[in-house]
Amino acid sequence: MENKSGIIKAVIKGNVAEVQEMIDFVLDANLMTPDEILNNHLIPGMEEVGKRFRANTMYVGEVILSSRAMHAGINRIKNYYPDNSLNKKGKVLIGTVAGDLHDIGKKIVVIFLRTAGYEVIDLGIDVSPEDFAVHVEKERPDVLGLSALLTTTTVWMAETIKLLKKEKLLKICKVIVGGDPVKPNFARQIGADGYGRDAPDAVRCVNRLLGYR
Amino acid sequence: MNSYERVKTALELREPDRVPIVELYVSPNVQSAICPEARDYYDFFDIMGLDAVYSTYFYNFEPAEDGLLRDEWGLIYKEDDTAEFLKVPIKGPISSMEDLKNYRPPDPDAPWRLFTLPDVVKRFKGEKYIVFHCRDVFVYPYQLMGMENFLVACILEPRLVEALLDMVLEVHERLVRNAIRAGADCISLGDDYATKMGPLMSPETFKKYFYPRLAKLVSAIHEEGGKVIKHTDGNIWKLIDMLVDTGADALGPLEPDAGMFLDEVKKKYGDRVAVVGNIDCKHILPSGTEEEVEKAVKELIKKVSPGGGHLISSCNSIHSGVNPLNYLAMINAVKKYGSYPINID
Ligand code: B12
Repeated sequence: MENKSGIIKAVIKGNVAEVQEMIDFVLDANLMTPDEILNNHLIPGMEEVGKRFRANTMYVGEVILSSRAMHAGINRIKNYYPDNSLNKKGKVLIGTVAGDLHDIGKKIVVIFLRTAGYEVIDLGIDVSPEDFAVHVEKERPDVLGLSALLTTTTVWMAETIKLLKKEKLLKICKVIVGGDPVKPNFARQIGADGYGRDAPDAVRCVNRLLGYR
Repeated sequence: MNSYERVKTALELREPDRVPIVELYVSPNVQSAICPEARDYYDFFDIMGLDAVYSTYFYNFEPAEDGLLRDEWGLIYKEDDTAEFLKVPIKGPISSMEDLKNYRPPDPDAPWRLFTLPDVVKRFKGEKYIVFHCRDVFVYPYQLMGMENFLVACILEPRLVEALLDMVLEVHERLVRNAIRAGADCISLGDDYATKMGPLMSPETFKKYFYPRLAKLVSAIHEEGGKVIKHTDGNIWKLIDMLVDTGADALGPLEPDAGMFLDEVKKKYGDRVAVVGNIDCKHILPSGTEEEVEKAVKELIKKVSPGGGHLISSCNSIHSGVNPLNYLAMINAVKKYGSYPINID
């Protein structure tokens, strides 16, 4: 922690008020540009949170608090980006596949995607291929995320992709898959465009597919 | 030695005549494939010679708005036709202290609450070991508030969380006392505290809220003369000292895929708790060969069973994705290798 900035530390602690105060201070005093705040402080803060979550030294509750602090920070600087480009890196639609009711991991993926600047629509659990297709057509996302935690329900990932293909909806969006029983090989086999082993990885995957760093 | 004595002896950390075979849940499709002659859920346990029978609580559902369902806790569910026995609510009724003050928990004494337990007792008492599977102090609290809100509240709103947990503890304390008085030999406490990576909350959070209440629940069960098996999925190495300190008689099934190897657990804690488990139901039982299953059972027995204090089961349940032939192979392998004294080279 020693050589981390105050803003980074406040993001890691999940302290909304501190993040806001510090950002107001450095903006008022002209010490940093909004770009510097974002790229050298807020994003590195959240990256550290991702690392600690992965190492199981930060837990779901703490991660949610950090994401709130990150959003509070973004809100302070977003007026400097008049095209609203900060929260509009792209649109992601996500859901847990048919027959599967697990959603804790998927919700964490949603949190990380949102803090990374994506608009995310969560379709919930037990979503049938038909429902995915209807929503892809309606929402026209850049990326569709499928989550499954049961070996038996991973087949619905394949079915969903098949249906999207049949209805020519794969032209609209890329498809990524994840969840404990899902492996990169399986993802490739069923024709997914990407795979993420955890929430930070899901962000990396979406960034890559949409051409961000 | 009959099944009842076999399980009891293992839970008392001694060697019975054979490693007991237990299972929290065996999916009906697996049952009927192995044992078409079974006429009801418990026939299977009887015919296949499992040593324990598990029953569980029941809460009524009623229609709610928009074609959804509401249970007696006020939790809202989507109607679902998935084959498994656990349902997942999509919404809970509590988000503030105000909500909690106005909240009425379900009555633990309702006549239907113990569901099939009275029949199970009538049929199996003294012959098979009767386990009543119950939630403890984590899952209902997080369902009532929603997982994310609840885990954040654990950090920001300790008073709300303490009050919520006490409410749930009170319901469950009465429920488990009722179950033992109705003839259950043992309570299985079923809330999962961890995932493959580790606990869902920090060990400090666990210690502050969950540990003391779990310990209270365990004491209540012991007071009634029942035993306790504490189940949790996931990697629980960071919590295991506290779980053992609750006074539970056994831990498991535990998840090998999450790093919970029974030989290691037994080496460290075997003088204080029995271990239940843990043939892998993610890969080996669904898609391994029968030979692989037999080998896994043989290895597990060799490593874990000597000295007693081991009950064998899958690492979670015989869910609908398990290959029935593999489950049969598992049962047969225990009968083949599991007699005491264990003699496997
Ligand atoms: C909590 C839990 C439940 C809860 C679910 C509550 C909820 N709201 O989600 C309840 C109790 C309801 C439940 C029910 C069941 N469960 Co369950 N459950 C678990 C448990 C303990 C934790 C799962 C979890 O939340 N992990 C935490 C998150 C953080 O991890 P994650 O989900 O893997 O997500 C991360 C990554 O995978 C990735 N990711 C996830 N989704 C996506 C999507 C995309 C697009 C990307 C890129 C990445 C990504 O990022 C996430 C964050 O880092 C696991 C055990 C385990 N070791 O995982 C069993 C487990 C998943 N369950 C299992 C089983 C068998 C069941 C039941 C069938 C039990 C039964 N007999 O009834 C039922 C099925 C109900 C149903 N139809 O779905 C088995 C599955 C075996 C298998 N592979 O088939 C497991 C592995 C337990 C075991 N020991 O065998 N379960």
